[in-house]
Amino acid sequence: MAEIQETARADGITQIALVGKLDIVGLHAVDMKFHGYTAARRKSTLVDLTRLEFISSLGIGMLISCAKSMARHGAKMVLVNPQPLVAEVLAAVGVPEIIPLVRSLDEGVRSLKDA
Amino acid sequence: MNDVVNDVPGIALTIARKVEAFAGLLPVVDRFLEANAIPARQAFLTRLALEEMILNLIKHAQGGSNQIEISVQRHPASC
Repeated sequence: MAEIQETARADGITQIALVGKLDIVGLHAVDMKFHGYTAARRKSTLVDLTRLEFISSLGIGMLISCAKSMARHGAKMVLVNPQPLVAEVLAAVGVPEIIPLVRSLDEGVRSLKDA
Repeated sequence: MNDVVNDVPGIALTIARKVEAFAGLLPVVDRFLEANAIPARQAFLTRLALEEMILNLIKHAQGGSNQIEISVQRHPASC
């Protein structure tokens, strides 16, 4: 199962954490909500993956779809601190070429502000 | 479902070729991986491969059976 946790920020950036397993079950639990936080808001977004334990192609598709939708409206997504195995999967399919990966929230904020 | 398949620890079961059926299988797989102390990396990759294969079968396979037979086995030499 997966869930999304939002952290309020004062700088206009959306900060959300994906928690749990983004498999077929997790995706159904968070897909619409994730779209709401990201593509629908069209604000630059930090997606904290620190507590994401698993991701499959369905979850990757969700990330890329929302990131591309945001980009069409001038907003940017950054993925923060994925666990090693999740990072390995993301790298294997080229996600970092589409959505930047950073090691910390501070680095993510700098990345978004430099965009 | 079995705890031993072909003389090695394993599970074998048949599910309907539906996404909901596969979703119900995942906790069974997770319990097997945990019960057999599969290292984290191998457990992750097993789960990933299983999900990708089964969902591709469910969503994209043309014709064939409306059931999927799945077997997950632990072979000592591979861990």
